[in-house]
Amino acid sequence: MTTDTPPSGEPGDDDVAAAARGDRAAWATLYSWYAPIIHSLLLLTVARREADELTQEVFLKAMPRLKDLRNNAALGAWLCQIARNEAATWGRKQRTKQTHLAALSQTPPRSDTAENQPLDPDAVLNQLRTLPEAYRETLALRLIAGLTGPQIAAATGLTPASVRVNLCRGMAMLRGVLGVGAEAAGEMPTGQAVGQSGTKEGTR
Amino acid sequence: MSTQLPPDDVNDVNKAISPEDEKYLWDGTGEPAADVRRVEAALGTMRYSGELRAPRRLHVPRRLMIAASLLLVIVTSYMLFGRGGPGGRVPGPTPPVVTVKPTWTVASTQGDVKVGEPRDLTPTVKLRDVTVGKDGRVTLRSGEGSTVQVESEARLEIAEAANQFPWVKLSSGNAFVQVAGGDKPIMVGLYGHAVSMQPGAAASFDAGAEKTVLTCKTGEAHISWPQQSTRVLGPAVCTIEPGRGPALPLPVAAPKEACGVIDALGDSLHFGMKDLKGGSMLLKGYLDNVTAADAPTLWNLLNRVPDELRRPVRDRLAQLIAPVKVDPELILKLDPAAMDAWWRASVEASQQN
Repeated sequence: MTTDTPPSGEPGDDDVAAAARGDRAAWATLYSWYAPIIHSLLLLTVARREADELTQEVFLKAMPRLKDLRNNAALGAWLCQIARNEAATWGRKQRTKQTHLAALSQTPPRSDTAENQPLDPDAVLNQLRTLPEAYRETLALRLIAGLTGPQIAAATGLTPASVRVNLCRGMAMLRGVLGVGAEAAGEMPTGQAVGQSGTKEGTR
Repeated sequence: MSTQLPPDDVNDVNKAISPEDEKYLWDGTGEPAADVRRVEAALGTMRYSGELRAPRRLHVPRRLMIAASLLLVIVTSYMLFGRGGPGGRVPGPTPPVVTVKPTWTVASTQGDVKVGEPRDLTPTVKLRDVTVGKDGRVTLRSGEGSTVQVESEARLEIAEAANQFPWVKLSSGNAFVQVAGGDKPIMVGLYGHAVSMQPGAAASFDAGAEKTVLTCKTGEAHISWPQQSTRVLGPAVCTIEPGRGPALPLPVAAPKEACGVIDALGDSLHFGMKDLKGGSMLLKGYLDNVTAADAPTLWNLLNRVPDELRRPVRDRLAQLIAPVKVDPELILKLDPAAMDAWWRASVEASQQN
């Protein structure tokens, strides 16, 4: 149940090839599919008002380099990596980032968690940012961008099994830090039990 | 849209979450627990829905590059534009300069620029539309004090009035205004909509409902915005965004790293320094490294920092400027007369550096 329609119209190799030749319509197709994905990843690091702009910049950086991409199927993973680099650059610039995250981790996690009460989007995003990278990225693509598991696998290059693991473990951890669901009552698996680092070993 | 779950190659997955939740997370089918839907509903509000467009803000080196390029623009003449009828495209790489009565002049155009025919807005005011395409750029000029460079994908109206100041109104896109001439130019970047600018040696403009007003003296500019006062000592670059107002001015001579810190401070201040601890650490790091050349920036910080952080800024600035016969407590209260005295001292300290 999200506010917007999940993305559709996954581009094919033909679209990538056409975009590389400068076809603007093909670029628009790539953009409409990948922009929500890039935006979701950026949100994990950058301020919300900056994420839109950085999403644009990721594509503006990718446009002239697309023709150098050897494997069209790797476009998603490549764009995701550009997004991570952009986010990292932004993070270095924002010297308050680590302090901010540290402060967030000290925030009492279980306020305003009455059942059926809407959750504060910023508070949920802030807690999502505290999860291990593989979990938070996969969950962001599922819950913010609205992709399904298979679509996440296709976009990121992770294996379906890895995506599944990251979704399940990430959701369990997110419940814990948010103080919602069964795990909030003390049943949440510990970081050790569910794995702190997430899984990226399944990258294809 | 149900798809088969991938193999469970990690034993503890099914212990972390229910099968129903797992199925829903995988392909969106089935009925998950209520808290999964609440989390999804909250995060789903952040889903991206934008369209590809030119970047809204420029990074510092680009601003400085634009500032440098504007210095090369030569005043030629004055002109009048107005709306009316279909626009005519200015052809070729070296389009003719349009010259009319004293007002804004199109000093140069580049690429896709359309200039409309003049039309009467009122019996005494004529308007002309200018549309700058994706690869276009146009530079306007008025007198020797002001130039306006309008970036690609922008629309503006230029007016001449027989008995009042002519003006330029930016209805969309970005523009960069050089508001003080000589060897200490001040660049003001205008982002977004509804900005009108008046030409003249003492250039001024206002930004629509936000009533941003900029006035220029020799070598410096004062920007009044409802929430705060900003003063820019040339050569420097300052940007104004709708809803955000003037950013902390960036001295052209400042190192790139210092500009980055100033930008970060400005962002932190804009967002209210919610993370006061982090904001104060960033501020402390900046204060530890400033010199007298940074005194004008510290003055602008006084107007922006939360009350609880104003004292360390004031104390550091007091160390950089010559003693001023003003009660320092008045600075903490942002008393206009006291602030004006400290500004003058800050300018002197900066110029002696």
